[in-house]
Amino acid sequence: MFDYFANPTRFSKIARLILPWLEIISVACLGYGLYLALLSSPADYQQGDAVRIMYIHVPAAWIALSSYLLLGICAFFFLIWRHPLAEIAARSIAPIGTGFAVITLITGSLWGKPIWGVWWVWDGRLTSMLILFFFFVGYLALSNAFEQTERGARPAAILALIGCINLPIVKFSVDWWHTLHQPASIMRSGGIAIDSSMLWPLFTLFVAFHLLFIVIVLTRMLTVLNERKLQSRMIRS
Amino acid sequence: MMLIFWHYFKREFEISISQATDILSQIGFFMLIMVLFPLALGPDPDQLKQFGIAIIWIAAFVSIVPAYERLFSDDYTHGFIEKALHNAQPLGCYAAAKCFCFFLVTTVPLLIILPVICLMIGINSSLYFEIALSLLLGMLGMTLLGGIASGLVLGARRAAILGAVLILPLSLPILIFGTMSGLALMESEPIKPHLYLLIALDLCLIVISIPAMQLGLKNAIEND
Repeated sequence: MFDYFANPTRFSKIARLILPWLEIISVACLGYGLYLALLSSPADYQQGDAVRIMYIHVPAAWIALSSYLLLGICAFFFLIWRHPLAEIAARSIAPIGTGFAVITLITGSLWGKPIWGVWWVWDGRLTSMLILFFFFVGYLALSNAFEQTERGARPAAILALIGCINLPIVKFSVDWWHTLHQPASIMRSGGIAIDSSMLWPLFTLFVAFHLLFIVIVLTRMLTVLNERKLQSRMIRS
Repeated sequence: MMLIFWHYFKREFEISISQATDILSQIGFFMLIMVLFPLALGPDPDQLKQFGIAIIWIAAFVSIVPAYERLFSDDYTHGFIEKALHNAQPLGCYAAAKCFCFFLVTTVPLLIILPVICLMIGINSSLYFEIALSLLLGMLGMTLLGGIASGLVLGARRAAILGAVLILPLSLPILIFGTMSGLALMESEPIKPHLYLLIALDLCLIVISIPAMQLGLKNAIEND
């Protein structure tokens, strides 16, 4: 099945066909979700309107994490089977993941100020997100560091895979390190006790962000494919 | 296989000994970073003692990271790696020998100078062996990470800074476990668990880094 869709021509044909639909659905979903989250859902009894930051923050964090995993999977496919499309996908995912990691850090900081009273704490979660951001930066830097862009593909893929192995270690070690240094901070713990009035907008935005992610990645992949086609045509003529 | 390893190791070792000034400047760089801390933090002995082991780790990391870039780059530009690949010699063996030699010539001088450093920041000299052991384990892991990064950035623009950007996020577990062992030492708690974790990290890194270096080197040669 992978081979069937991994053909670049077939891929662009299918992607072009479904992209407009995906765009419409994701924008509608995003609009509806934002309406639910920012206007119709209730304010928190403790946090007030600041709780609405959660609706952006949590889905963005999820996307940032899963896009690194996806990056690792694409790198694996590219290294083992040398699928050109996997390399293009990885190249397209990386900047988007970086963007979502930045959104997570910024919204988290904006949320932290009114609730915790500080913009930043060296807490396990925050630190591991920051490190994830640096992994993305390293990938982007390495994949664009060579005169011919294709030359950076394999080193960057190796790096992405190594980063995947390191990711859980970073997460846990920072947790241990954190408990040694300071008492637990005000992170939510003890299960998700969210009322359905808040869960529903969160879920809608969850879907919306994922759709948006797919739309942007597909668009970028098509652009890179066209760019490569253009380059090879220019070389021929 | 072992024979090839020793062959490469001997070659590397002779080259590094003949360039002894490099080793000296490396240690000088480490000492200079150590000097920065008392100047920036203030000369308060209690504070220095509290941060002492963390300072040693940071200085060791920061001074070594820029050096990794030239781990493979000389052999790469002189065509030595290409020759080895051409003669169907195991690149992994070459990379491992290279890393091991680099580790020895950078870490042993560090450990020799370490008692003086401990004296200067007021760490009890009876703790020297524990600190040295954890630093030895940490630097082994760092060298393997440096080897991976050095292999990946071969032929890249501004390779030194790029290598540092790749190594530092990967090196955080080593730093965390290393400084944790130091903290345990200062509070006279057992440090064995932390040392075991460092050993585990090193073993994992040996398994990961040799194929990664091999892939990186091979890729750099084939794409030129």
